[in-house]
Formats: sequence, structure tokens, C-alpha cells
Amino acid sequence: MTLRARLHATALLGTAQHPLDFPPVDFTAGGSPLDEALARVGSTGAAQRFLESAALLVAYERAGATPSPAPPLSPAAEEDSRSRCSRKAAGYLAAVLAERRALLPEWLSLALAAGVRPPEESLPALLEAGTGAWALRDPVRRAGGPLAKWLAASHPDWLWVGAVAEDESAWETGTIEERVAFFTRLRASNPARARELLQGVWAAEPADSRRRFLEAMNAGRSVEDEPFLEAALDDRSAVVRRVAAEHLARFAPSRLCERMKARLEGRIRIARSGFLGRKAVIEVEPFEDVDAAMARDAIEKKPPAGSQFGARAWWTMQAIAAVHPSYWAGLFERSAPELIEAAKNGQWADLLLGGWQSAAIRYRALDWLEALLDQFAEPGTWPTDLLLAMPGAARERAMLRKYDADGAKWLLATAACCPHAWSAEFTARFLEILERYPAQETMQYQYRELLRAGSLLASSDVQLPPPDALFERTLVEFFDTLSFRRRMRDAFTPRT
Amino acid sequence: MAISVTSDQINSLAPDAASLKAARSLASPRTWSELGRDDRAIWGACQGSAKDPYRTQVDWQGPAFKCTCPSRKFPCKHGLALLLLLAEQPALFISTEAPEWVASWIQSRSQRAEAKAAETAGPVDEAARSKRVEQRFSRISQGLEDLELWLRDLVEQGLASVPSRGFDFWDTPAARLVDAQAPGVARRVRQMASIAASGEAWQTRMLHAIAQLELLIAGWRRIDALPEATQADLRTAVGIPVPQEDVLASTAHRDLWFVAGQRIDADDRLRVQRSWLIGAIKERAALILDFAVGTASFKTNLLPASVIDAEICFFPGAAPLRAAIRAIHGAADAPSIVPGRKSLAAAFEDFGARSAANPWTENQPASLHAVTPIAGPSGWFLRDAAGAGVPVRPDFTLLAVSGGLPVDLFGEWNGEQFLALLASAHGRYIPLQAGSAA
Repeated sequence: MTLRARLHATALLGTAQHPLDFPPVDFTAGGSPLDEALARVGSTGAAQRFLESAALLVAYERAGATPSPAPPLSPAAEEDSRSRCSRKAAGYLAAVLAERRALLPEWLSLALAAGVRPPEESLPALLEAGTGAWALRDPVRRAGGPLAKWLAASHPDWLWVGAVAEDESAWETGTIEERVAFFTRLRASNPARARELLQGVWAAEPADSRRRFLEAMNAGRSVEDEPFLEAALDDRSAVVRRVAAEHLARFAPSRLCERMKARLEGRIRIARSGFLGRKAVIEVEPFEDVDAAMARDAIEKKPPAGSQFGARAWWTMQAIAAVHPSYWAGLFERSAPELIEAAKNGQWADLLLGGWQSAAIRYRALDWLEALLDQFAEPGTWPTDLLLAMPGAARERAMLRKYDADGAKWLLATAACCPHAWSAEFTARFLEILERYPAQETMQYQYRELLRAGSLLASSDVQLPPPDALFERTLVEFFDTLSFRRRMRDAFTPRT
Repeated sequence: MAISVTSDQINSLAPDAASLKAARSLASPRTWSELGRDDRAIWGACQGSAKDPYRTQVDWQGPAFKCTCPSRKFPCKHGLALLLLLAEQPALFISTEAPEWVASWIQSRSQRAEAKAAETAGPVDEAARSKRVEQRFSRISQGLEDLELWLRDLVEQGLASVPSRGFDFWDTPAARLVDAQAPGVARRVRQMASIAASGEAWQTRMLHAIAQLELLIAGWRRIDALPEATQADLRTAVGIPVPQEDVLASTAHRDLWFVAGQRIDADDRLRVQRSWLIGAIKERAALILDFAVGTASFKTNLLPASVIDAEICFFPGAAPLRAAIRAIHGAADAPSIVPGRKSLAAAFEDFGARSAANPWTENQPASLHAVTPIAGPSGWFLRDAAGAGVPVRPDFTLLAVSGGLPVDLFGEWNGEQFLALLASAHGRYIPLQAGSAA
């Protein structure tokens, strides 16, 4: 037993129970300096002898310590072909991570657009950010590249980085979350293969999983999915049927759309009324019943609770909602605004406008969205869902057209209705109106929220006021963020 | 020689996060005018909320800050903003002719520095002083005898039951040592409380702590028979302060000192900034300590990975590490690699030699050449080219910086574990533990 081992045993048990043998060394081996020193340890009791021996041994060991053999190396991270972002851009990332987390998506998208990667030392913080927020995971994963993937393997919280393995084992053995994540990604890159995989397991999946996979089919949706989706209309689960019908009502010409057209055949007519019959009116002859085929196409029999519609109008409206609205423009040789006008002249306005609105949103039919927005909405209200179905530029145009006398209300609607990166023109207009309608006492809170959201959306390409010319204190932070964003963006553009 | 600065360095100067944030908003060309710089200083005028712009200047020797704003923070946001602007857009600093308000400040600072250097220790009442020293010596001796009794009790009972003891078990003897004017020993006893709760292999660490205390007690008992340098080490370990002016009066070592690592220890309201310097020419290591209470900022602004041309004086001891700065003559460009980088075997030879000379050495510096961090199932290690290994404090930033490939590292070895403070990789320096108060 070495001296070290004996010291340890004695230390644990105590010298009262288990005194250290003394003298602690066997001198036959001839004296090392330690042996000589130990030989001089006094004999004033077991505890004191232990303390002195330990003091000598530990000092002796420390003075002669050597490194131990290291564990084997594991493979290094794969090389990243992208170059590291500029030092300036890295500085902005550090600032964003420290105090402006809301700008992290923007920094990541700037880096991805510039084809550069974040500095190595920022990866732990980026991976932490991705762990805390689902929306950041994909950009962090892409910006972080092979180093992020390599690093994540050594931290249990970061396994999500590698969880989207390209191989299909995740599909067979993963949890439902992993499988949905895998399916969603595969669907984006290879929609047909994703559909085939789903078809392979379809019959064995529980209804809730079937619904979740079906909902994840948005990316890459095409007419090729139609046979599969058509089959899903015969699913045991009503929820699954409804999701399938929702998909089928989003690409034209689908068979579902054709069936709806056939059902509506002759039921919607243009008539004339008014003085000398100058006014066009649309008349509707609603369905009398919902037959089995209609039910299969997910026409719901019962109107939702509190609906303004009677059952027959409700059924008919659902059919109209599944038909691309341009069909009616072709059929009646009239533009969207003209048809809307004609609908409003008759007694079926709510049914028609409700159906067209759903259809316009589903098919992203811009002329219809614009026409509905102009004529349908009450002044001072903003039908967010119509605006959200439009591309950003059209949305801004529509929003500016909808600007009315109540500027404060309009301002408060902007962030919710236009959650995209604003153009410089729109931003300038926003600022102009903002200056005209400073926050009233009662709206301070909403204004703060608006400015916080707006500072992330607004274009940083506008004239920034000098710091002392701010017309309102609440705006200091707004412009501060805007100016930060502009400088951050400039950090990614090579100096000119 | 152009002054340059990185944002990491600026971060380490900020008194708090709010100042840094405010500074970032101000670090925009539209806020500043009269920007300029020379070898010694940078300056500019910042349009704030007042009618007249604030005049902000930074003396690179220190660095020291001056601003006409009323802020009580130090450095103020304008000073930080000026540095940030320099880091981001050095081209804006056009003027090289220091205006009067800069030149006069720099001149007065230089005069003050000279006056301070020339200042000699005032007359001291030698008799009173030696009486105080004697009183303290006998109090410490008594305190250490009591501690030895307590240690004997501890080893008689055995360490097995130690982890179940409450804090009082350690606090009582520690408090008695404070009363005996041996704060250094009191700190070691308090640390034993956390050793008892430190998990796997705590017994070994505890035995080491006990052994070091006993060595200290035994050494103190016969301090008069020991070499002068070892006496100084014992006094330091016990916690007797060495007057700064005595240190500054000793031989100065002038070198280009590379600020190789920095970390901040927080103990309640007292924060200790530990800055390691390595002589770029003579490759000698030095530790500069600075203390600040509460939110006050540190007096010495040493920027990690920067180089200062300075004279420093070591505190006495057999293997001196702690030092004080006597004078700073200027800044220099950082070297491209950490000076003094070694294999693990060579680093351990240094550790052994220092431990042999001063067995109470706690943290030792080392700059390691081409070591690869490994986050393995049996813990975190550094591995050098020869396959030797040393445990390292887990640090994902370190791992990310290496990417599984060798990096040069500067850090501290505490006898158990290496703490990485600065990495040199990808052609740049990356401070680790930045702003950490572990």
C-alpha cells in the first residue's frame, strides 16, 4: 500500500480509529528526499503525525506533478467553405446577443444573404437562442453550418441541430415531433418522396398523426398530391377530411374545385333590376340539402354556433369558398369590383362576399383581395386576413389606400396588418402620420408596443432625425433601433 | 503607431450593460464632430442633449477617460462611444493635431504621473510600526496554533462525516482567523466548505487543502529560519499585505507586456480583476490584481490581447507572480501568437518548479501550444501534440473556437483544472470567460 493510499484511508476513517502506521516509510528502499523529510516528522500524537506527513507528501507531489495521458481525439468539425463575417458584423452580433435579441433573426438573415458565417465564439449563444425559440432554429442551423452541428453533439440541449438528419431513420423510429420535423423538411426539398413515405405508413397512423402530417404538406403542394388528398377525403376522421379538403381547395383546377363548380351550376345568376334595369344584381339559389358527395368534400352540415347564416346559405357559401374567384369573372365577363357591386345590390351579399373572401384568401387572388378590401370593409377597420394574404408591396398599397381620418387607429393597425419588412416609402408615410398623431394619454401603452414592433419592421433607409430633434420621447428608442439596424446592415456590405 | 481597439476590449471597459448600450447608440458618425487621434489619445465632440457638445477624450495610457458631460459613470457612455466609433470607423478620425483641450489634459496627466513616480514614502514612525507588526505576528501565531488544534480534531474524527456538516462548521474557525488578522488562511478554511460539497473525489481535494494548511502552520512556526523570499510567501499566504509603495520601490522590469488573460472574481460586493501579463521579450508572467467595490469600475484598464510598454515591479516571494505597474510608456501592437507557448510536459515543469519554490501558490499561468479541447464522457480535457492531457474547466466557447482542432491557449492552472482565458486561433485572439464572475 502506497503512502498516498494509506493517507487517504486514514483521512476518511480518522486517526482515532485508524492511526497512520509510523514510521510511515520503509527505509530499506533507500531515502528519497521525501523519505528523509518524513523521517524527521515528530512523534507528538497520531493526528499531528498525520497532518505533517500529509503536508510533506502533498507538497512533494505537487512539485513533481506531470500531465496524464489524454483521452483520444474525436473527429473535428467539417470545414465551412464560407468565410467568417467581418469584425464589424461580429461586433453587431455580440451587441444583438447581449441586448437586442429581437434583432437576431435580422442579423442571421443578413449573414445568410451575404453568404458569411458567424464568428466561432458566438455559436454557444446562438445555439442557446435556438434552443429557446423554435423560429430561430432553422436560421441558426443554417448560419452555424458544420461547426454548429459538430458543437451541438456535445450538449444535450442542442441535439435539435442534428435532429434533422437526412437519413430516413428519424422517420421510422423518431417521436412524432421528430417525424413531423423530418417530414416538413423533406417535403420542402423532395415533396414527392415525402408523400410516398407518408402513403406507406398512412393506414397504420392514428388520426391525430394523420392530421399533423397532412397539415405539414403545405410546402411543395401541387396537383401531383391530388390523388392522395382525394383518397384522404374518405378518411375515417372528420378532422383529417377537413384538412384534405382545405388542401384541395388551394390549387386550381382541382377535381374538388370542379365538383363544386358543377354543384353551383345555374344556381348563381346575374339579373337586372332598378330603373330601366340598369343595375346588375346577383341572385343565388342555395342548395336544398347536403348529399353524401358534398359531405365527402367537407361541406359541413351545421353552421358554426352564432353564425349569421341559415343552413342553406352556409352550405352554398362553403362551395363558393372552394372555387377560384376568377371563375366567376370569366363566367359573367365582369371584373371583381363589378361582381362585388352586383352582389351588394342583391339580398345574397353576405353569402357571396363571405365565400369570395375565403376563396380569394385561399387562392391568393390579388385582384379579388384588393377589390374586397376596397369595397367590403367598414371604414376604420382592417380585415387583417385579407391583407395578410397579399404580398408585402400590395399590402402596403392597400394599407395606404385604407388610411382614413382616424390616424391613430390606422397607426395601431400597421404592425399587425403588415408584419413584413416595410419599404422605405411605407416607412416614411408611417413616420409622417406618427408625427401628426402623437400618442394620447390613454394610448401610451399601445403606442409603445407599436413602436417596438415597428422599429423591427420599418425600413432603415429613411431620413433619421438628429437625436435632439425628436418630437416625442417615446421615439428615441424607435430611431435608436432603426439606426442600429442600418449600421448593422451596412456592416455586411463591403466598404465602397 | 496607430492605436486600435476591438469591441471585446471595449466591452471589458464598460461599467455596466446600460452604459454599453447607450454608447452603441451614440457611436454613429452623425452624433460626432472634431474627431481626431494621435499616438497618445483620441478625441471628439458629441452632440448630446445639452446646447454645447460634450468634449470627450481618451488617453491611451491607462486608458484614461475625460468628458465634459455630467455623468457620474466612469467611463461615461461618450467615452465608450468614442472607442466604439474608433473600432468601427477609424477613418472618421481625421485630425491628428490635438486641440488645446486635449493637449493640456494629456500634459497635466503626464506631469501627475511623473510627480507620483517621484513621490517617496513619507517619514514613518518606525517604532510604532514595528510594535504593530509584532502584535500582529503574535496574534497570527496564536490563531494558527488554534487552527492546528482544530485540524487535529478534524483528522482524528475522520473526513467521512464532513459533507454533512453545516456552514457553521467552517465559518467559526474562519471567523477566528479573521480576528487573528490572518485573512488569507480564513479564506482557505472557508473554501473547504465548498470542497466538501464539490462532488466526486472531494476527499482528495480536502486532503490537499488540509495538507497545505498544515504546511502553512508549520512554516509559520519556524518562519525566522526560512529564506527571506519564503518568509514573504508565507506572509502573503497568511494575508499580510505588502505596501504598494514598497513594491514599486523595488527593481522594475520593463518589457512589452501582453495582456494574456483576464477574469473577474466576485466575492459579495468586492470584485477582483485578475489580469495576467506575459513579457513579450522575456516571456515572464505577472499577475495584476485590481479591486472594486459594488458597481465602481476598476482603476487599471488592461485590455485583453493588447500590449503595453510598461515597467512593472513584482511583490516579493520565491517564485513571484503578483506584480504592480509602476509606469506605462505606451501601447504596442499585439504579437501574432501568445508568447511563451509550451507543451503540457513543459508547462508542468514550470508548475512543479513554482510549487517547489512556493508551495502555497494557488493559480499559476501557462500558455499552451496546440492543445485540442475534448468534451469526453469522462470529463473535459486538453490534449497536446504529444498526447498528454490535463483536465480543463468545461467551456463551450472554447470548444466552438477550436472546432476539434488544436488551438493555442493561455490560462490558469489551479492544481486540479486548467481555466482557459484566451485562445489564439483563426489568426486572432478570442477572450474566454469575458466578463464572467464565476
